[in-house]
Amino acid sequence: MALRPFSKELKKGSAELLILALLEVRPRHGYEIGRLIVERSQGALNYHIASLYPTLYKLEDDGLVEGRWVEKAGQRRRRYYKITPAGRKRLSNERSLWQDFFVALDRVAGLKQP
Amino acid sequence: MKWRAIVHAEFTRHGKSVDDTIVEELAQHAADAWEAARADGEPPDAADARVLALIESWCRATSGPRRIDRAPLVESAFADGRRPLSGLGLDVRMAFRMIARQPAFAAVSIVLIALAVAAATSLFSVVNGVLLRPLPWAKVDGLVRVFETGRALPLSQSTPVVTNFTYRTWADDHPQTIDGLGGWSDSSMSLDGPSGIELVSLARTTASLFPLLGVRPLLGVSFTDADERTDDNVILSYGFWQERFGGRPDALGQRLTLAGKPRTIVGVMPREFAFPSPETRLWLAERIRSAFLSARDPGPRGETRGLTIGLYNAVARLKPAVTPEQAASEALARTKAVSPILENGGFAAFANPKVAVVPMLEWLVKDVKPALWMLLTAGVLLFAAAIGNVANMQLVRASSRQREIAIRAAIGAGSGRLVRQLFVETSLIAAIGSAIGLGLTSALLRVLPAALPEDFPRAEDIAIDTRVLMVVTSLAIVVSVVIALLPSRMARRVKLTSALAEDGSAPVGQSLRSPAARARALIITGQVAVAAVLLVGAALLAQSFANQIRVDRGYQPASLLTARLTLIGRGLPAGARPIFFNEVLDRLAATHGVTHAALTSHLPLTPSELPAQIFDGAPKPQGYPPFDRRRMDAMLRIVSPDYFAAMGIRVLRGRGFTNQDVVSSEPVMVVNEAFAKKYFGGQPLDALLFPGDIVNNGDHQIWKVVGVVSDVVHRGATEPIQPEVFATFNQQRGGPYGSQFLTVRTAGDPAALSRELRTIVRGASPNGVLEQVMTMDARVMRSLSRPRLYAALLGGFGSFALLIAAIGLFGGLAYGVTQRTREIGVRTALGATPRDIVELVLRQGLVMTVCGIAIGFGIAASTGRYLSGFLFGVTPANPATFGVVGVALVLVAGIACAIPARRAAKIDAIQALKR
Repeated sequence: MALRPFSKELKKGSAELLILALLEVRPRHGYEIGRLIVERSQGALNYHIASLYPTLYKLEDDGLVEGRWVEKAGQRRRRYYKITPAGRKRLSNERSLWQDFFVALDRVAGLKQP
Repeated sequence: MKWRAIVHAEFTRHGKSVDDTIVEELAQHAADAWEAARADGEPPDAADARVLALIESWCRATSGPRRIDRAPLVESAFADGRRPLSGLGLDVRMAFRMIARQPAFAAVSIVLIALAVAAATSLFSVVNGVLLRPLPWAKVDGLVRVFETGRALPLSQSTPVVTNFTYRTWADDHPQTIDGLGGWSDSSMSLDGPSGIELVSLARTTASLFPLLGVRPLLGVSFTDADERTDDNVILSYGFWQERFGGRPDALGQRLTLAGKPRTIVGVMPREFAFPSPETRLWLAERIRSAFLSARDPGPRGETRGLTIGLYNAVARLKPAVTPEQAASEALARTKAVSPILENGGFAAFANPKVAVVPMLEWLVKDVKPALWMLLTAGVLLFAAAIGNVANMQLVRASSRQREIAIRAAIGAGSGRLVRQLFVETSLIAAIGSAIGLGLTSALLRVLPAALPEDFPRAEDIAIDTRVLMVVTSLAIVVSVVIALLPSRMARRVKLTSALAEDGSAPVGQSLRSPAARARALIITGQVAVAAVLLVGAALLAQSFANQIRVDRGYQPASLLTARLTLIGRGLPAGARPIFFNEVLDRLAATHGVTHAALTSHLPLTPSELPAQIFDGAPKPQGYPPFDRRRMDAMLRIVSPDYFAAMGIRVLRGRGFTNQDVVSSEPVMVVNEAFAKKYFGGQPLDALLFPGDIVNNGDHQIWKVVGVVSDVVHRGATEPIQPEVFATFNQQRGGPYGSQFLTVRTAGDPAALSRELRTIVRGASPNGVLEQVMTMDARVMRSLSRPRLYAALLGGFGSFALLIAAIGLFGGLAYGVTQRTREIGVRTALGATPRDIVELVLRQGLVMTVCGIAIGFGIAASTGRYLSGFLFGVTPANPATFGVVGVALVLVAGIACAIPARRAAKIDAIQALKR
């Protein structure tokens, strides 16, 4: 299997993958996204919360997520983010990219695939 | 909320301006984080510190919330062109602001659009209701009207009937092309009501008719074949049922006494079933007899031998995939086979008929279809002219907004964005205008039934339906696209430097050099052309309408009161009718103000006809019946002696009828000039005629022609004159029968006599029924209501188009003059006189006018043949009409151009150059 060249996105980090993966299940607001990343990685992914919103806005600008103010009775209005069809496509691309990345790492360093 | 203020303050402290929504979102996050920290058991101070650190990290983040950096300077939506609908709300707000800034401009656009949409939509609603919508009372697929044009039925186009011979021959012989035939005849009968006897309109139908039309009674049952024979049952119309029985279902089974015979109510038809006409109140079953009498199928008086001929209306339903032509040829083949029996039996005239089969819908609307398409075309032209004006106004405004557009482009608006802004603006105007137009249409349609001629087919089917709404919507879209198109082309081409550097006045000599100016000139020329086309059409129709009023009808319609007079009731003694009719005539003659009173079996401009075959009655050795002799087709009218004098019909040769012409004297006839010319080379006096038993004078069978009267326009001025023969009641055995038309010539206003007329009829007999009391002038006007409507509508359209063209010229030139102020200043400074300047502007306007007229006249001349069917006494290429319209257009254009020209002449050179 020919190796795919890894995209710049991969090198830039995993933030987009994590956010898109969390939004794949259902729309969430910014605080919830931040909290879930910390919780699910059990603190292992030391995610810098300062870059969460810039990343979200960039994803929104790129048409991968869609933010919308939602008002629920008795609650503050919150901005919920929803994954778009383009976002889902990107997510599946990212996943296979990471998959390939792990395969490559494994061949070189003898990692066990997750 | 405290976090919001803190987030905002922190960002400001870091020298960043932040979008409100981002502040709000981050404040939400801060509040959540604070609550989470408290929930983890941290004291408030520690939680505060933790959240403040978070906010600090946001402000310092190297990449930073990007939206903050990209927050645009003026209109945030301008920068954000990636998502197609972002900033739309802003565009709409902006559009409202632009409209509010120039309300008069928007109002004029909206009014023009509303009127144009109303004109086009109303006409489309009429076309849709009359020509396109399916019939509400019948399944129309494959439904055809059947009639024949045999030798005996020269008038079949106006009285479309089939003989029982054709009907039964075709229907009984297992037809292959049709699913069956249904027949009916219109009739009226006396009905015994609680308040005496009255006359009701009804139709006698075959049992096959209702199933063939695909209608079922709302209540009860349809007729059966047994009903055809017994004639015992009656079906009510919805209106009659509501009126007489209050809509109660127990009407079924009750009895109605019609023509003296009690009949049982077996059904009620649905409300929308208006067949054969909306006036039909009841239906009785009728049997269409075979032409060949037999014991099984006897004649009206029980005859079991011989032939009988009757005339009926008929419809058929084609089998799937059968064409009307195939059905017609089948009918022809079937009748041809048995025609020899008719020929040998003395009914040769009805043998070998030509059968016509025409789709029902086509048949119903055939008289108005060309007119409706003509009017719809005119409406579309008008629509185009009006929208052209709005587009022109937008174009003018776009040029004056060039600076604004340039500024917006300079601060980052892409051309796509600017075009969208324009579209939003024009769509808003188009939507408002179209909505008002739709309102106008619905108001127009409400008053329309009153404006339409009484005999306009399917007037009740005209309404706003989905199709009409779709048309309005597409018109609105067309309008918004068209009026945004040209300005948006300009927006795309805007040159920042020149537009911003410009001081607002056009460079010298820019009369037609810019594309926008050329587009404006083209639009104005087109508007003049549309006005020319519509005005020529309107003028031709108006002339033809005037011609039809002025035409010599062969009688004097003025000072003439007319009415239909019937004596109803059963068991009247023999001779009751002549006594009654003579009594009415005598009483009228004795009335003050009446100069002549007469009766006729057929009055001009009423639909019924009595076609007769008259044979040469000259003595021949072989004797009678002379069926093999020369046959003369004519319309028969039976009149009282004073008829010609009452109508003002001129006796050209010989004499009219006198009171000496009675049953016992020599039977005499009077013929019209058309008859005299067609059959006797203009010299019919003393000729002998044999009319058969259609006029019954007892033993005498040969009638002598004693006079020739002027031709009378019986149906319409556009229809050919028919040969006519007249006989008098006084030589008819039994005298006048059935219903007669009364004609009363008065010295004063004929309408003033109508009340007295009613008193006289009531006095002569309580069973006398007077209907359709109206002056002959009113009948003439009613017969012209269609040409009048068409002329008025086209005239209205033409005037509107003229106004639009004038506004277009005026607006275009006035704008041109302001744009050319500097050029005109230069010209004046170089020695041009005010006269030169006026000429300069007028020339420009008149060039557009003359080009427009030339184009319009070209179109009018080449399409004139479509109009010729509507014209009477004037040809579509009438030079005088074109001349008058041309002069009128030039005059109006001159006035529209004069005001801007004067303004241009007053421009002060110094002032103009200083600007």
